[in-house]
Amino acid sequence: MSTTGDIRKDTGRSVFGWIKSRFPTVPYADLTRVVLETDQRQLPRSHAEKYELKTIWYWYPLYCLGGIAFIAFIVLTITGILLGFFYVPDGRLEINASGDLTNPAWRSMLIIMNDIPFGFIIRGMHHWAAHIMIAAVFLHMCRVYFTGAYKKPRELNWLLGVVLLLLTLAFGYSGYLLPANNLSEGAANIGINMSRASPVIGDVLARLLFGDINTLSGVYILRFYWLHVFILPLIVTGLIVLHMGLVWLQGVAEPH
Amino acid sequence: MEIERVKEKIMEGRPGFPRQYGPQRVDHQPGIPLFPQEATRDFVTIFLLTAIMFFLSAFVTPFLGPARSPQLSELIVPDWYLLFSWGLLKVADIFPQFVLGKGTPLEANFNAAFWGDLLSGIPVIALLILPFLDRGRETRPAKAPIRSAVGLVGIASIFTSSLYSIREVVAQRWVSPNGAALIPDGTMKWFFIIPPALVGLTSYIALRRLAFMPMRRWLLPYVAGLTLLMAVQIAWIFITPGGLGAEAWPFVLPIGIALFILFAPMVVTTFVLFKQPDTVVRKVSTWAGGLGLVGFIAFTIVLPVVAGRAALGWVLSVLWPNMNTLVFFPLFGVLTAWLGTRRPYSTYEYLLNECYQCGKCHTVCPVTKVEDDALGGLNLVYNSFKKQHDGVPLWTCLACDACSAVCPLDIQYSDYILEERAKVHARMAADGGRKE
Amino acid sequence: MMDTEYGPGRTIPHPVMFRVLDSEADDLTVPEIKVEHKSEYAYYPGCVDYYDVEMQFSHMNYGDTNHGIIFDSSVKLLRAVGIQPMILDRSFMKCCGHDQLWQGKIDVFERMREYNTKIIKMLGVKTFITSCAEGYRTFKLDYKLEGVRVVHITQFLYERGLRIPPQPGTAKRVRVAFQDPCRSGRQMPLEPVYEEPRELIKRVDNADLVELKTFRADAQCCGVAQMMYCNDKTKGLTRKRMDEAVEVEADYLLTACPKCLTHFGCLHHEDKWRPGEERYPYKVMDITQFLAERLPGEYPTGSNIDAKRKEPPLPGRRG
Repeated sequence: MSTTGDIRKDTGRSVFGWIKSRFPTVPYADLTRVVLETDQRQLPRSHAEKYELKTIWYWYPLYCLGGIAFIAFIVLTITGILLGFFYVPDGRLEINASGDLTNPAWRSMLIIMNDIPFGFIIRGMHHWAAHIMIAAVFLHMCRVYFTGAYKKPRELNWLLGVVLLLLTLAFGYSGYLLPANNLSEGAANIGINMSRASPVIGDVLARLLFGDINTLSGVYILRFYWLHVFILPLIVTGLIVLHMGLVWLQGVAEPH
Repeated sequence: MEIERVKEKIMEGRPGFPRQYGPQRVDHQPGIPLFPQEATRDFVTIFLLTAIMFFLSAFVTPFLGPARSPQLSELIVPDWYLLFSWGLLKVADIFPQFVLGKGTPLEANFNAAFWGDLLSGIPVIALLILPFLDRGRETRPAKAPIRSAVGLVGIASIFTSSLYSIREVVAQRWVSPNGAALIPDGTMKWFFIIPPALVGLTSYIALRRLAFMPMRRWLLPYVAGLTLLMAVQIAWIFITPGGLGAEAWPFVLPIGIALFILFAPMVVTTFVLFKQPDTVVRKVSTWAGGLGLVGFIAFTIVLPVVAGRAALGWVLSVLWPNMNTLVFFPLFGVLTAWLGTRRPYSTYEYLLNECYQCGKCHTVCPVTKVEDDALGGLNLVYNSFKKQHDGVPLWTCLACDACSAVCPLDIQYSDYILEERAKVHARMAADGGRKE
Repeated sequence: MMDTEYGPGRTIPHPVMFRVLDSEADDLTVPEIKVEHKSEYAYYPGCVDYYDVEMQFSHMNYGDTNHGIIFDSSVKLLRAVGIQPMILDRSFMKCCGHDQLWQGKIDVFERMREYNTKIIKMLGVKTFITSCAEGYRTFKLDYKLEGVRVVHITQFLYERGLRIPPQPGTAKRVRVAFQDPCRSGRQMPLEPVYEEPRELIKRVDNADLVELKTFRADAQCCGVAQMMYCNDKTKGLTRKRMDEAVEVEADYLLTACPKCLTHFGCLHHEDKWRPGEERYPYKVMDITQFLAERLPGEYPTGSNIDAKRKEPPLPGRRG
C-alpha cells in the first residue's frame, strides 16, 4: 500500500477514512488544523493595557475571584459525582443491632469516610471546595460592588450574580443537610420553622421544600438530595454559563 | 537557536516601556498569547487552588458526628455563611408579635420567625435594587465615598449579625466572676447598629480625605459627640445606683484605670481637634491611639499578675457590657481623627486619575506644535502623567493651562507641573546639592 | 550663543538675571518704610525695570520694547480715575516670585512671599493693583492675602469708569488686537480678566477691537512662560501668535502682561534683522501704555521715553 504522506489523501484507507466516508467531517477536520495554529494567537488587550494607562494595581488580583468560584464549582461537580456513587438519600430512622439510632444516609457517609479508598479525601475536597466557592462568590460580589461594575450596562449581570449567590447559599445549605447528622437535623428544623412562619402559605411551603412539616420522617433528606444533585446543578450551570457569557460579550469592567 | 533569535523572541517582542510617542506609534504590543503564556498562568492558579483543597482535605477532615436524633440537645451552629440570617432570626424577638385574622383560613401569625424571615429578605432586596438605585457614572471606589461606606456598613452588619447568631456560645464561654454573661444579650443586640454605623462614618471620612478635602466639619461633631456619649456612659455607670454592682466596688481602682486608659485618648484627640492644624492632630491621635491600645493590652496582662484573675474579671464585667460605647467609641474615634487629618500621598495623582484619556489636552497644547520628538508631537500631558518622561516634557511645559482650559474633567494640569517641578528641586537639595 | 536665522538666539534663560532675582530671597529684613501719603490702594509694578535691563540695555538685545513705561502709564491712568496709590516699587518690595515658583524653587518663592506679605500687611493695603497678569495670579492665588483685594489694573480702571476723551479728528482708525495672558485668563477661572481690557479698548473711539484667531480662554500662550526656555521652539510659538495678529491685520498688538510684551517685543525686533521683510508691521505695546498715550496730560512720574530718540536703533548694530 503506497502512502503519499498527505493525510487528506491517505485517509481513504484508514480509520479516519471509514468515518470520513460516512459523516461530514470536512471542513470540521480542517478546523482542528487551524486550532493547532493558535500558538501565536493573542488575547485581546484590556483598555488599560492598550493605552498603557496608570492603573491602581492592587485591584487586579481580586479579579480572579470569579474564576476561583468557577474552578471550585468544577471541583464540586467532579467530587459530587464521585460521592453520588456511594451516598444513599434515605433519612428514615432505624435502630441498628447494638441499639443505636442510625439511618441509611448516615451509614453511607460512614462507608464513604472509612471504607471507600480515598473516600475521606473526596468528601474533604467536596466540603472545602464548597466553602471556598461560597467565600469566593461573596468576595467576588464585594469586588464588583466596590469597583462599581454593576452599573450600566451590566445591571443584568449583577442580578444574575445575586441570584447565583442565593443559589450557591442554597447549594451549601442543602449540602450540609444531607449527611443526616445532628447538624442536618438542627438546620432542617430551623429551615422548616422559617418556612412555616410565612403567613397563610407557611405549611404548604414547608411541605414543598422539606417534604414534611417536621423532621421526624426524614423525608427532607430525599427532597434536598434531589435539589442538591439535580435541580440546582442544572439551574446553576445554566446561569453560570449565562453569567460568564455576558462578561464575554460586554467585557470585564476594569478598575481604573 | 542562536542567541540572536532567542533574544528576538524573548526580549524585543515583549510589552514594556514604550519607546515611541505620538499617534504614529508602531510598536504596539498585540497582547499576550493564549498558549503558552495565558494557559500556563491559568494552569498554575488552578493547580494552586486544587493543591490547597487537597491539603485541607488531608489535614482538616470535615466533621460527621453521630446520626441525627430528633431530641437533639446540643447547640448546633450552622455553617458560617448562613449565620447572618440566623442572627437576624434571633434578633427578631424585639419586634412586636401579634396574630391577624385568628380563626379564619387567612390566619397570619406575625411571630418572631416571621419577622426574622422578613429581615433576612432585606439584604437580598437591597442587593437586587442596587444597580437601579445607584446610576452614577463613577466607578472608582475611592471617588465614590458613599457607595464604599455603605458597602463597608453592609459587610460590618453581616459580621455582627453572624456574631449575634452565636450569642449562646459567647454567653457560655465568657462569664464574669458573678456568673453573668460578660457580653449580655442587650449589648450584642446593639452590635447590629453601633459598629456598622461607626464603620460607615469612619470610612466615609477617610475616603473623602483622600481628595485632600478638609474634613474638620465632619470630624469635630463626630469625635466630640463620641467623647460626650462616652463621658455620659461612664458617669451613668458610677452615678446610677446599681450601675456598679456592690461586688465590683472593691475593684473600683483598676476599673477607674481601665476607663482612664480608654477615655483619655478620646479627650485629648477632641481637644486638639478644636484648634490645632491637621499635622498636630495627626501626631497627637497617632500617639494617643498607640498609647491607648498598648496601654490597654498591657493593663489586661499586668492586672491579673498584680491583683489576681478575679480583678480582671470584675473590670471586664463593667467594660464588656458597655462595649459599644466604652471600647468601640474610642477605637473608632481616634482612628477617624487620624484618618481624617492625614496627608494623602500624592494628592495630584489621585486627582489625575480622573483622566479618561480623551486627548483634548494633547491637541491643544502649543508646545506639541513646535517641539518634535520621535514621531512628531511631544506628548507632554500623557508622558508626564504616566511618569514616562525623561524630564523633557516636565520642563518644556509652558504652564499656560491651555490643556486645563479644555479638559472635560477640569483637571488642572499646571498644578501637577508645579508639584513635580518642586519635587525635583527638593530632591536636588536632598541629594546633597545646594538648595537652589 | 547660537545663531538663529533671526539673529543671535539664546537657548537658556539669562542666568544672571535670575540669579539676581533669586538672591533677593537671601535677605529678609523688613526695612523702615516712610510713606508720604497713606492710601488703601497700592500699585505694584513688578519687575518691569529688570526686563528693560534685559531688553533695552543689554548687549544681547535691544530695541524699542519699553517696559518701564508700563509703570508710568499705570500711575497716570490711576491718577486719571482719581486714585493716588501707594507705589510698592522695587526699592523695598521683592520680586513676586512667580517664576521661581513655576521653576520649582519653592523655598525661594516662600521666602519672597513671606517678605512681601509682611510689607503689604504693614502698610495696611486694602486694594492691591498690579499691571502684570503673572503678578495678578500670584498675588491672588499663591499668596494668601486675607482682607486684601487683588485686582488687575484693567479691572480696576474699568470699575472706576475710566474715560478716554475723543481723539483728535486727524487720528485714523486703528485695528487693535488684544492678547489674553494665560495667567489672568485661563488660570483664574473664578475671576478672569477678559472683558475689562476689551471694554477699555473700545472706549478709545478710533480703535477697532479685532479678535485674534484664538482668544479669551483659548488664547494661545505667547510662547515663553516663567522664563523657562528661550529657544527656537518657544520663538516658534511666539511667531505663531504674532502671525495671528498679522492675519487680522492689526495695527497694534496689546497685552496685559509685561512678560508677553517681552516676548513679543523680542521677536518683533529680531525680525528687523532682515530689513525689507517687515513681517510684523504693527506695534507691540502694553495696554496701559496704549491708554495712557491717549489720555491728555503728562506722565506724573515722568516717562522713560527718550524724547531725543525718535526711532529705534538701526539693525545691524551688534552690541
